[in-house]
Amino acid sequence: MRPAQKIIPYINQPEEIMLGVPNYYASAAGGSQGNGVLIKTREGRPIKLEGNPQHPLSKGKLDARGQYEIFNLYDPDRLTGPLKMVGGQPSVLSWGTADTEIAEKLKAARGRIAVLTGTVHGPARNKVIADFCQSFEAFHYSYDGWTHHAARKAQEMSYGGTSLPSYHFDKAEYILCLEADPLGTGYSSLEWMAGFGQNRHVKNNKMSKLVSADCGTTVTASNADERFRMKPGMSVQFGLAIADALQGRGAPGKHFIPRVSPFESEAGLKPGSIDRIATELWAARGKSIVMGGDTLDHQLVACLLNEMLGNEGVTVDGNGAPSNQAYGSVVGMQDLMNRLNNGQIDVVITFGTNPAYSLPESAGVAAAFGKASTVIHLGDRADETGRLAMYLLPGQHWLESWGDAEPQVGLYSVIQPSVMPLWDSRAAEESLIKFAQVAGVSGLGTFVGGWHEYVMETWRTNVYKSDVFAADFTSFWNSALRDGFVDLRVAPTPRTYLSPDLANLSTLRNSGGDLQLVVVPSPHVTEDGNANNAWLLELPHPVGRVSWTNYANLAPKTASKLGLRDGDYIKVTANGATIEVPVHVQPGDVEDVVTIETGWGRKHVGRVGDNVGGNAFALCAIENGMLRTMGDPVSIEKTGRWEELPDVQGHNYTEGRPIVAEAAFEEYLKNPEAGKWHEHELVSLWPEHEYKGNKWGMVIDQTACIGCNACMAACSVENNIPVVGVGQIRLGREMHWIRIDRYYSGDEHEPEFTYQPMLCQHCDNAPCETVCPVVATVHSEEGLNMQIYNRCVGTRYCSNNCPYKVRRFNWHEYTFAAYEPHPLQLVLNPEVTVREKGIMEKCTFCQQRIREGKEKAKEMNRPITDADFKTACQQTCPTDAISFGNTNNPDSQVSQMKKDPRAYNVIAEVNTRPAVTYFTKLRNRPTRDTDPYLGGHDAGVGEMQPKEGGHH
Amino acid sequence: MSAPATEQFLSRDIRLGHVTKDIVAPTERMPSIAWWIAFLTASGMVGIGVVVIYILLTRGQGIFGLSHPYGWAFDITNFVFWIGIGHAGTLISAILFLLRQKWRTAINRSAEAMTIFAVMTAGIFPLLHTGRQWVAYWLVPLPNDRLLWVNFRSPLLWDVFAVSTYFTISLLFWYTGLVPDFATMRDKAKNFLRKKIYGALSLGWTGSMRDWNHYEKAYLLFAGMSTALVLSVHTVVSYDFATSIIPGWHTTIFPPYFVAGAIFSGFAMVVTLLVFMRKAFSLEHYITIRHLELMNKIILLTGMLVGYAYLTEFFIAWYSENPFERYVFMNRLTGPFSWAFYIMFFCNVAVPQVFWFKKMRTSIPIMFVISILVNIGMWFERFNIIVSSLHRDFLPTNWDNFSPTIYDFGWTIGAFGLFLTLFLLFVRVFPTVSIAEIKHSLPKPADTSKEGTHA
Repeated sequence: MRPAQKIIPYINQPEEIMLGVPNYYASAAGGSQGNGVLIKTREGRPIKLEGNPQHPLSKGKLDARGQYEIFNLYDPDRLTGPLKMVGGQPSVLSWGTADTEIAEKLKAARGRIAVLTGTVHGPARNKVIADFCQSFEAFHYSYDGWTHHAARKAQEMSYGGTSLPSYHFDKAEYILCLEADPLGTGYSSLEWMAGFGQNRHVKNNKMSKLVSADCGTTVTASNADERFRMKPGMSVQFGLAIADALQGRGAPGKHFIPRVSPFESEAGLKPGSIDRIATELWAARGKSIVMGGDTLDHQLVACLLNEMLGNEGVTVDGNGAPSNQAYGSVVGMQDLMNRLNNGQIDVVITFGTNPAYSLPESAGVAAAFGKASTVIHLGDRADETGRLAMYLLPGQHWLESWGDAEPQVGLYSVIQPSVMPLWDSRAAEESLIKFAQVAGVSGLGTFVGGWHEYVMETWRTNVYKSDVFAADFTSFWNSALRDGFVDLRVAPTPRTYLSPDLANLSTLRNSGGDLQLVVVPSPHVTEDGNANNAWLLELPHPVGRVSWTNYANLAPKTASKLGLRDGDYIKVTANGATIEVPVHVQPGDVEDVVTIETGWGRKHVGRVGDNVGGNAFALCAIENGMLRTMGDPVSIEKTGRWEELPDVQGHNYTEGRPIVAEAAFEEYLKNPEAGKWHEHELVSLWPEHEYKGNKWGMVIDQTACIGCNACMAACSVENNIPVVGVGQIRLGREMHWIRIDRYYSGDEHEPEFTYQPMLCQHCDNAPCETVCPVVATVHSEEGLNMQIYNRCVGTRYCSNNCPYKVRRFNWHEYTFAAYEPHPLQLVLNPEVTVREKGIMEKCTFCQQRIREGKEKAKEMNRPITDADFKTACQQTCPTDAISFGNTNNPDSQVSQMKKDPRAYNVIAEVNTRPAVTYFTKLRNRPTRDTDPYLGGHDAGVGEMQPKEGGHH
Repeated sequence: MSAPATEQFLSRDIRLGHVTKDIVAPTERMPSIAWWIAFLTASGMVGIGVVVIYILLTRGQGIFGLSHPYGWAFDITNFVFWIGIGHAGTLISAILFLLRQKWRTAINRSAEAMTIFAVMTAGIFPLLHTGRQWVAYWLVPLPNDRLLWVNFRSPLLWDVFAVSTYFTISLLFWYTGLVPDFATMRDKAKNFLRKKIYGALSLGWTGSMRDWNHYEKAYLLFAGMSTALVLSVHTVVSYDFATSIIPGWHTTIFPPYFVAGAIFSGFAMVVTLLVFMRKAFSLEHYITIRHLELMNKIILLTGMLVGYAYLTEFFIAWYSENPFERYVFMNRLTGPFSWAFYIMFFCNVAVPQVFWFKKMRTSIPIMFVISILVNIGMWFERFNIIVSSLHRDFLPTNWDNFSPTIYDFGWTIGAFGLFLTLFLLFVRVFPTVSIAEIKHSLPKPADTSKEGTHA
């Protein structure tokens, strides 16, 4: 029935909005990475984020975290209007009152004001803070949980200037990581993943090589072609030993290199390893990258090696378009707290950062903030730092507000609002302008207009001026908005190496049997509102495949020595702080090392994220103006509590089954079919399907896949996949249509990793189709295995009979529960049906996108091509590991790829004839004598013994 | 030849004039305290089941321990278990009838009743194991204008046909046999309501030659139809598994193995119930030790058949060189559910061997314990097939361990409650032994003297 109030029919439709047709807006992600994105909106609401295909960093890709930003916009736990803390209780106030009150305080506190933000880049965003600071004689500080300050400082010592280099992974044939995790947690990880991926597709018998010297299994380490495991900090010596060997090969310049030999025996490496790696690196000079971890020593060694290898100015860019993606520092934070403690600061304005969470308690953030008379929080929620504030004036999500970004010098983007603000909120920058205007100060206070005008004005005087080819400003501005970026970067030139003193680098820290702590960033969860993003928390960790908590990673030997197993809750004590986290036994980790990720253990982030996991920042110490995250002694105490880990993977080995074909690259060069099994001729009782038109197929290159989970995120957002919560995950009821199976191979203590994206295989002989009693799952004439939700009664026979177990059942009413808290339901994709309790669902190969592509081709009256559409997972895959298309078209990419000698089907002998083909996992390392995956395979799969204990 | 053979089964104390009184007596007197206790317990169990079903309908299948990769567990275990229980009734009624095994006479009525109730109990599970129970009727090929039809390639659909046919035929067969007895009860009834009800149930039976003629023909016809069903129903049920591709399911031995198993469990259940019934209603003259002993022999035989099937499965798994198949069977022996396998093997293969000894075959307490153990074993057989095969199938990343919830146990208890409740009601209102057939089986007066000399 029509409501009684007067309503207006949708006759005069708003400009640009056509019902049922999505609009895409180019923008940039508001976080520190500043990747170019396309915002897909339907009927005026953003429903999906994709990479901007033209943007030089994202190249059309987006990582899992970047895509799940969409849920942060609709987070029901954001602040919904301005609040003032009165007597410890929040009370509502109007923006006008807030502005007046704050303006008064600011005027009074002139010269005693601090603005504390996270990393900010973008000319207007930087300028508004600078103008504000100038107008009020305020100080600006930046702080992020992970500041990358060590990298900045090492650059300063090695080359002068504090720029953070940008790296060109696309040009790198050889990558050496010394405790670095560029693919998982680097400051420009998406760009690096994408660049790295370009050289992982074997072309002309060439592929890049990734070597990692590390103490823990990060995303990068798990993807390394060759991995050298060593105690925390020993990779510094590893790097020096290589530098020493390079010197012998005639690397330019004469460098003082501290003697580290005999390093190999000390670190337990095979004799000759250093020499071999040095030889390989030398051969790849100028086409390689050496990356160091988050300590000054690592960074200095990395600079030295890059210099010796001639990478400076080629793959390492420190002066052309260096990175702006990390600006924070603990030094600045300490300075702020000193001033606060000395009573030199009266007003603190914070946004975009959360030091109350991301610094150890010993740093005394809360106490220092308590010294200020007024703390104003412009963030989107009452998080740990927000709760120290008197005024909570909700800022906006970057999808709701104007802004700009300059992730690399000269690479500009405008952040466009794509939706009206959901709540009574105001962009933090808008607030700064407003405060100045109400206070009537000179400078910013005299600016006429709001934040939008300010952005335009800054661009007019700044970016527009630098763009010598630009026409009038309006068309420049419009094209910047339309394209999503303005690229004015310049090429780098090699800088002069200042030969810093390396004599005082850390000595070997071989602390015997003592446990050492390593704290690393999470590839997913950051210290902002992300931690309240149920989808992000439910996304399993790329390496551990555990969701909904962080954990203490222990090597199998360490765990058994301590009598611990998966799911045992332990108290971890270091530097006087204690946190409680569950144990996760991670094969591949180094013995006697406890690795814990940050981002979890939030006290105040929202209903979803509060008190999930433990806060590993608490365990760190501050040393020389940096967070010391590696090598501190740590003690472990059992609590006696055990809970099943929310682990999405049941068993970690293939048990010799024909699931993962893997081979050394060297072996592949001799025999392109290396690593595959002898396949029997398969016959079928059923008549073959005839595909007269299109036939859809997918190829997944396991060599390119790095297990980053971006495909899972893309699929969830595209297909309205609900989250189910930690309890259901423990029961194994995750709903992801595509998942990444992570297998170990080889020795349990030094396993190699394979990531295998697993989704509905759209089998030609689909076992699910024959058993459904109500014809709810059927075969399309284009080879799709279709699930008809309305017809499904939920016998689950199809799932039982699926050898890949990729079907997902709605055990409870998941969708309503997941999307019910307002306004989360606004994110739902109207092209995809939401599924109710009791029915089966699964990957559709993005049927709605296929349809869209077909309609496009039909309008143009031509057959469909690869360019017409991409599945969500394929579209976003940072390393292009997923290809999709029409296998009936001989020119399509998949048709070509399916002919590759590496192509195989998972458990082909079951004769399901999948439409998904996998490429052998190749590792660019020498063949090993003991390699179980080479040579002997023709005899069929290996003997299988039921293995106890490996199972969770 | 048949007459003397029959005599051995019924006690010699039975006199023609007492038969009707003996058998009808339990339906005419007020139920005993023991009956009330049993009935209230059983209906209490039904109550538990009803609560579970209510929660199931409101919250979904997630209340059970089900997940990936085991989409079925207690639900289908219970279904197959109860369908199996139902087999003895048909076998006794039909096959033994056709083979002129007169000893069936004393037990066929209760065995058939058990069949009906077991199939009714079994039917609950496939209906309620669906995710959307309110549309479960879509499994039936009802003509409709929505262009919806069923998938005749799906074994679940074959189940729908097999089970519904089985239920219909069993019910008709049972009812046909009851008609003369209802007439007897009608004639014997002293109050009006009883007379009316049994009168209606007896469908105007007059006992004329024509009635008997039709009756015998119909009975023979149903016996013939049921005979085919004894073999077909569990064969079809086994197709649920055999036609799939899951290692541990995908095997051609399932049809005969399931049929043997069903008869095995069915006979065990008949023994369990008769041991009580004959005592409670003083029917020891009619259901004699000899009857029970013969059933125990069948239990021994079918127990060995299923044992043979178990061993064959292991042999084939080894012989096939199929790594998935081999793993599943090694996993049965050594995996997390090996305890279920050992329970099954002990109860179904080892325990019935006791029946090689006549002393054991004829001991009421022994056979009671064994019949219970056999049914425990047969429940675990289905559990083994379903859960231990599914929980570790092709891709090891999917492997997971099943753990049941209270709801799993709840509706399993509810099913036993329903079965017992129906059976308890049956013994109160229906003639538990076929009056007409017993009368036929009694020695003719002319033979009485002969019999004396034999003795």
